[in-house]
Amino acid sequence: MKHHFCKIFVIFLLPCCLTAQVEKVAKMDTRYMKSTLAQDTFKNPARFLVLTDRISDYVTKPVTPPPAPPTAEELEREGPKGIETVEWKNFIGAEYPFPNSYPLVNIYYQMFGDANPKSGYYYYLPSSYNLKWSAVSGYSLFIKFLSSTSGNKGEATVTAELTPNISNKDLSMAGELLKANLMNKPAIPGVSVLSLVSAPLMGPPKVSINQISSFGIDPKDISVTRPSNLAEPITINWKMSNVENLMTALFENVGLSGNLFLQPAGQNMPEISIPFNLKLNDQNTFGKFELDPATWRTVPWINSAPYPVILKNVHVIKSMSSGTKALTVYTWQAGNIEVPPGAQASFDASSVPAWIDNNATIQRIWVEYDVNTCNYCDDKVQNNLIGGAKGTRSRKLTFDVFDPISYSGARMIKIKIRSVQADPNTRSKMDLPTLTVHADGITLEGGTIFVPEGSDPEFEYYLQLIMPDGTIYESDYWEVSKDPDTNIIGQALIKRLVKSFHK
Amino acid sequence: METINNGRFLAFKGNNRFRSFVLFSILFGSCWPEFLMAQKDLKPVMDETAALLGDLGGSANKVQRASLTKEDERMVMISLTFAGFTDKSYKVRAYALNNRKEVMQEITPVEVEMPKSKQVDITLNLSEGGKTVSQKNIVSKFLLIRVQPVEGGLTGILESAVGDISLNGLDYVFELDKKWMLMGANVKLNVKLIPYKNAASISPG
Repeated sequence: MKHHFCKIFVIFLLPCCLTAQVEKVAKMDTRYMKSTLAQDTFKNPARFLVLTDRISDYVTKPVTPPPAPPTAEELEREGPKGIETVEWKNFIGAEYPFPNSYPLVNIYYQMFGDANPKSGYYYYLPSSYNLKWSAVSGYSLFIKFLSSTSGNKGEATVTAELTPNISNKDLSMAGELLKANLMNKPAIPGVSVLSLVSAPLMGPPKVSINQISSFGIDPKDISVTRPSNLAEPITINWKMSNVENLMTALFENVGLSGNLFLQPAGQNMPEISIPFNLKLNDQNTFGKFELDPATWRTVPWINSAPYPVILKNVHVIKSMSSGTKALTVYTWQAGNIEVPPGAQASFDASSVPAWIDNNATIQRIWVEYDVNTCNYCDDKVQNNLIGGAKGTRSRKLTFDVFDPISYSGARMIKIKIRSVQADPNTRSKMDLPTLTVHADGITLEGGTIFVPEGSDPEFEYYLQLIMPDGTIYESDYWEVSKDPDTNIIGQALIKRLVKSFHK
Repeated sequence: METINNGRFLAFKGNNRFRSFVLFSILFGSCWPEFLMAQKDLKPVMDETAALLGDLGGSANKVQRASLTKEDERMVMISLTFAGFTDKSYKVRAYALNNRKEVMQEITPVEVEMPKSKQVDITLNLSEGGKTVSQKNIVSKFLLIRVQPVEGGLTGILESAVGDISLNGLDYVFELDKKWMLMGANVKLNVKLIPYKNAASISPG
């Protein structure tokens, strides 16, 4: 039976094109396929790895009578029990010295077997969670300011989606590693099909946030969703009293980190702590930049991240049919070239063999990179995060110019405007663009302010009358306004605000 | 219930004290008022024109100070303080120059009127054109401040006609050694891949 496993091969069931292959396997030896497995497979084939013992040998040319097939009850899945440890390093070969923390496969290094070993089921968990980001919709981080009636402007609720970044390729590679791991162990009698599925959870994960008091978060105010499938993102939500510290931590590249404690359902299952990180400027947030084998040599790669990235290497990971390694990584150095946001990089891949572009043993081609710091990028990201935050309203300021020019005889009037709300983060008072009035009877737009939910609009403005001889009369004080729509610039305002001016 | 940590997490936990220290330092540091941040004065460049028309020329009109108050990869904000210039109204133009002291087209010049306070903040921004480039940065070396009287008449018309040529303005040059980051689809870089160890000789088998 030990030799049985030496003969096994892997079939990856990809969502679209390989469904037919699953059907074929099911037809070939339905005796070894439980109805539950088949149902699950067709429901979500992408999440399954099926390992099978050369089923065609049984069907077409049995030399000896096959053993009596197990009954459906004998193959029944009972849930996770025990731990099948897969140490990635033991089964992945690489000449390039990856750091220990580099996530070659985004699956937790331990897998759980089923309480019924004959079922052939194994259960996986994610190796880490990171802030979800996509080139199209940006960061899945939403900050909603709360009412400032308490006087605390830093109160907010924060919702973040955390993703395990588990793709079909990760599951496929984890399957290879599991297979390699099992080949060195005593075989389980009667097992002919192995399936890798998401571990079921007893309940929502528990959350622990590092340095929680610095952010003014009460643990009672944290909630988290329970994912139906651990390859999917989870949503974490909390209320905090010091959102400014969160912003500082995010933009100083410290981020917010902690652990999710997952309790798999099953017999005597241990609680597993999985680290999570909320960072804006981090390669784990942006994930692996995969290259399309069909186009990567001819179509330039575009840096869709909002930060410059430094291209370190291009890696290719390949399934191995012989030897002690299930997977081997090959590396080409990319010269640490920095690619700004939106810029394109054309790879001169003449030293990379052409066969890797269309070979089934190649699991993934990707770019390893570092993310560079960029203050300009920080500002843009900050504006997108807070400016577009749910609950924060943007208001345009309008100034109606009545008769100040004819009244004062000024050649022009400058209107300087400032507001804390000009800063989308409500962190500091900022100037808005200065308006210049050359004529009476016009309406001017004075920029945009961002009003947190529950707050009133508030801004200030200041007049400078510039006379034809160059004399300048200035306001005695900044006029405070809470009405973005009605701001009259006329002689009444000049009389009240610019007392040094006498007609 | 037992809790199991993977190796990565243990390494992560080991750094927790350091991370706490870093976080505390950053959060504490962010409480310091902005005015404690030092401004960087730009060094004047005394070329022949400046020597003739500026300080050495004995003029009371001059740029007393040019300070870099804020910058990022695509912007500089400079605070200019003037002395003199009390006889009439003046306008101030600012340009970024390359190492050949040519105006850099990618950096938009700024024009403001000199206020009564004789102190003005200007902001220079990078704005790429439509042409494709194969480098990710451009470098400025100098800042040109040109002060001209606000006047119409023949001089104003001539200046409008000939653009950046100064007919009766005063030029002041400062060092502005800055790398500006280009970005967007017009930046096209070439990346030559070099095999690491035996990567070039791999075979499908």
